[in-house]
Amino acid sequence: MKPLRLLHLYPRRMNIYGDRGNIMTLTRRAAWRGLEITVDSLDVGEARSLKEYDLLFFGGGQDQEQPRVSVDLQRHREALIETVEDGAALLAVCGGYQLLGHYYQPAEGQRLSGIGLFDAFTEAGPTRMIGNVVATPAISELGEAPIVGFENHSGQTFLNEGARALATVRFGGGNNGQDGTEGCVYRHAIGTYLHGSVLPKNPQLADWLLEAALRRRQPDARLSMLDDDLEQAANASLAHRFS
Amino acid sequence: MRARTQLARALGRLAGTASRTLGRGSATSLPGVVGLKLQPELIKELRRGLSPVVAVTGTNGKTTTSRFIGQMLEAHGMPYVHNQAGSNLVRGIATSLLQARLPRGEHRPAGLFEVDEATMPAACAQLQPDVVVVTNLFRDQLDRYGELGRTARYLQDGLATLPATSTVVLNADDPLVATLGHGLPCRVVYYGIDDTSVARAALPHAADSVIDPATGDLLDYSAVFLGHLGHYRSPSGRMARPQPDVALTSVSLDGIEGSDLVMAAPGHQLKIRLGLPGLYNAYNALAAAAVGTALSLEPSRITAAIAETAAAFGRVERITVGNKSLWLGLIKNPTGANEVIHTLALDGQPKHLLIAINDNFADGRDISWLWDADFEELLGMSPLVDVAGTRSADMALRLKYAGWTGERIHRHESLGAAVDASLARLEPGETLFVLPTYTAMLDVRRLLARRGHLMDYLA
Repeated sequence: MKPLRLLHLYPRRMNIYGDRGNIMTLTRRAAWRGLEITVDSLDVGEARSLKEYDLLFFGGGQDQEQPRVSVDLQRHREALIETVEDGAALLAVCGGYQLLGHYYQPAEGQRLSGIGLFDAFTEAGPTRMIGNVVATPAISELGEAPIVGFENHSGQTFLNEGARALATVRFGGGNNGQDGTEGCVYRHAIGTYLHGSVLPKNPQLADWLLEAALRRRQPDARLSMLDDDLEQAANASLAHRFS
Repeated sequence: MRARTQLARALGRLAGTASRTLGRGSATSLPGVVGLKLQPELIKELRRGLSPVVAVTGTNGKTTTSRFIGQMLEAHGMPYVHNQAGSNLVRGIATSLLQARLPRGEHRPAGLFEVDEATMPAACAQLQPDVVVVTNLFRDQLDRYGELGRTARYLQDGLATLPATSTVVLNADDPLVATLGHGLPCRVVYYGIDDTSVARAALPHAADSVIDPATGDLLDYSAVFLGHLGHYRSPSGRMARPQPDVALTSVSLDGIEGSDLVMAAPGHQLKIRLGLPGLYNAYNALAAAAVGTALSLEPSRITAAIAETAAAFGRVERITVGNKSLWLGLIKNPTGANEVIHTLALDGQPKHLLIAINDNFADGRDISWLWDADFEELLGMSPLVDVAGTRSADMALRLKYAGWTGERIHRHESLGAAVDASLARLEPGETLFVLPTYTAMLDVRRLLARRGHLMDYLA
């Protein structure tokens, strides 16, 4: 089987904090199973055939970077949605998550268009949600281990009726600090506000994405188990401290 | 001095004494809190007893740069008032002012204040410094400041309150800092590295990408020294690195021992042997020398002072423990951590490592930055690593993904146990290299002091 292909969207503009840890987690966990992943990037003004990618990653960015990215992203709207519909796995964190919804309305200035992959929208709120987060997965395939991470956002994301949340917040703010939801899931695409980085200490998320990517190539494939002692220790350490 | 100010000063000092007597510790900000409550204009009033006043701000290097400047002032026989390590907010500045002796008459002491970036608007308005130096702007403790743009705005707001008679010293190699010089009525002195032989191959992963705010274009770099510091230019040419007034024309790094520098300033050239390692300290020395030039200090004394400066408390420090040593290199954000890592990796020699990561408020509660720092660079030199701190589990995980296998990562429940276990593994004469975050560094020092290994411990 040829290597799995990962596309990192706007890596130079949207790499606010520790997002590299997510890419590292995916490539290492694949390598530990004898699978290879090649990583490409897509930046403003560039072209790629998105459907050739099995995994996509879209990180967080600073407010001043997002308008330019939002405009460029529109060119890829159809291809991105098609690729996810076709079964590709995707992880979007913070700013990336916001831009994959319908729109992001900042406190000042123009509304930024998203692409509507996630049936959600974001509006700047009055306070910044900053702190550790412990949440319970809302999707049965993700198992029972808590999802842990660190959030830092003033945007409040609201899921439309029918959209699925990634998790239910036990400690922290989550999407909007009001309805107890964190993140959003559509097909095998995950949007979340969690940094940390999020995948290293939530190996079940990483493997869910990896397995989806693998199955796009080999429908019967299954990932072998790994020794996740250190991952679980990091997860438990946070879960116990903040619940 | 006005009556109200005198009262505020007296009561503030009393509060400090009471606090120490009651065993509540060094109370580095209580006097200031008390004093400011009584006299909100305290800093403005007391500042009149100082000349000149220097403010040091920026993400990395405030304390070390201040240390260099302090040595220079001493070399010129100038006493100075300084806020104690770690107290760089308004209340800390106020405390240092009201605890100082401010003699009347001509021989006023100087003022040397480290200022936290978010405190710059208040500090500049009240202190009205004669010289302000901005070292750099990096992602640091994002959970405290939100974003780089916001931090830059704090600095801008602070600088906007300065009178035209002040001088602003800016790092030309940092595009985020250099732009602060635009439109300022005061004198601007730029400093930077001209010797491109110490440049890296490309913008490192941990570097913040910098855009030209007018066009949204990413900046192009012809040389990168550290993080996003280097020689840059926007594609349109509208934004480019300004020519430094004070520049390092030659830099020779000498591993963890230090470096040899040649510095060019208007009218003279300085040759400096720096006893602190890495490019990041070369930048700190350069910043201080640029301040010295702005203050018209004597070049030979600037050189001597820099050469004599020992590392500031805990930033980079060597401590003797019996017949072994401990080397402490503070880490708190990806670029700073990379510089420490890179410095350790320079000589290619094996190193015993202890990494202590806390996430207390002063460390920054968000430890995502660990994933942006290049710990991989130490893989070949440290087969085994000890890990401690409140976030030891995350650090252990980081090391696993960096290439260390599980049995090569020793996680300890307490910092004391970690220090003991690591030191026990050393042969006599060997050094333990400790990479702590800020409060972990304080914990290590406190531990060693209790055991009698530290002479200069600040109780």
